[in-house]
Amino acid sequence: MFENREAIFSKLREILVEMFEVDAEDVREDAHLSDDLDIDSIDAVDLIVRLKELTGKKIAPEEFKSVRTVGDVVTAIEKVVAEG
Amino acid sequence: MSGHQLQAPPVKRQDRYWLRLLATACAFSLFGLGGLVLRFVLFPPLKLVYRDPQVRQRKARDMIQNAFRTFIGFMHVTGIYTYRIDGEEQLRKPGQLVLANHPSLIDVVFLISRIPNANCIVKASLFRNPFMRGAVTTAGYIPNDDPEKIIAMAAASLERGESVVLFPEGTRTVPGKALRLQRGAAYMALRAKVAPTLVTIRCNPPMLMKNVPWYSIPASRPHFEFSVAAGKQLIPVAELQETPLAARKITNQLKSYFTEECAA
Repeated sequence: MFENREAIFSKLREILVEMFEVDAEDVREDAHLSDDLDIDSIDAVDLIVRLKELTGKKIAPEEFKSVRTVGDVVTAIEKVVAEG
Repeated sequence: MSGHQLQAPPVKRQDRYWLRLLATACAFSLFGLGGLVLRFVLFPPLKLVYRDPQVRQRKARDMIQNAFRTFIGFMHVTGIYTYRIDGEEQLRKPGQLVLANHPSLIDVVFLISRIPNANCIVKASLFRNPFMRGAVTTAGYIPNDDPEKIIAMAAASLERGESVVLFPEGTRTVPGKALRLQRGAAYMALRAKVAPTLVTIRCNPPMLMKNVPWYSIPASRPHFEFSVAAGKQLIPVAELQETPLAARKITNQLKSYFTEECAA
């Protein structure tokens, strides 16, 4: 499910659409979470909880501190999965 | 020199303009002074008399409510504004989540002056402001720093039967711009399972708006109107789970409510 960047991205898009009802077309690597997708810090907490469940890994909220875009989230997940 | 600059047509200064300006200056000084009197004169004995922090907090809130009531009255009798509050009795019931639009600096003063045992979410910087820190700490208000903490504290406050006052916009309304609401209010309603009480504040002509200095008062005397509505039918929360989608739904309902009311 998280084998490469594309797979992570498409799973993340699926999650964002399901959790926050954003439009799938709006989810691009460069889409800004709060400005373009209206995802706020409370949503981010829910998103991290969800990602923890999916990856089965511990995710420290600090890893998401500098996250601004969808691409940043993908990178953060990549890192978490790689650290395995 | 400024041929291309748009100039508003000159408006005649009326309704005792200079007296209103003087009264406004007095009101600002009085507010700061009141903050210091609460902090250094009225609150210290509370610590000695009431050992139970909950009781002390309640007494402090009663004092703030009375002080704000007096302050609102002062600004009224000195002719700074006229005002009317519709549905005030709803605000006196315990455990209300009071949500309002936010046209002016003194909205919260009006609201707290009418709400017993009111808790509110205040700018975190006020906890460092020498005039305000006494009041905000002794009354146990909630600093607006961490969103998750705000929601948890507000929900706990509602569950204890206190009322919570919040402006879902997070900052003063900018006239003419579409409302932008944060979703924290919706999460509080969902977590505490409390249908919000909605207060529409209209101020005409606008006064003490965002980015307007205190001394630039309107040419004519403003009138404030507060319309209070119970949200049971408007914003039902009892059947909803606390999810991002439910929070979005409630926030959208709040946004359409306030947008419509403010246009009316």
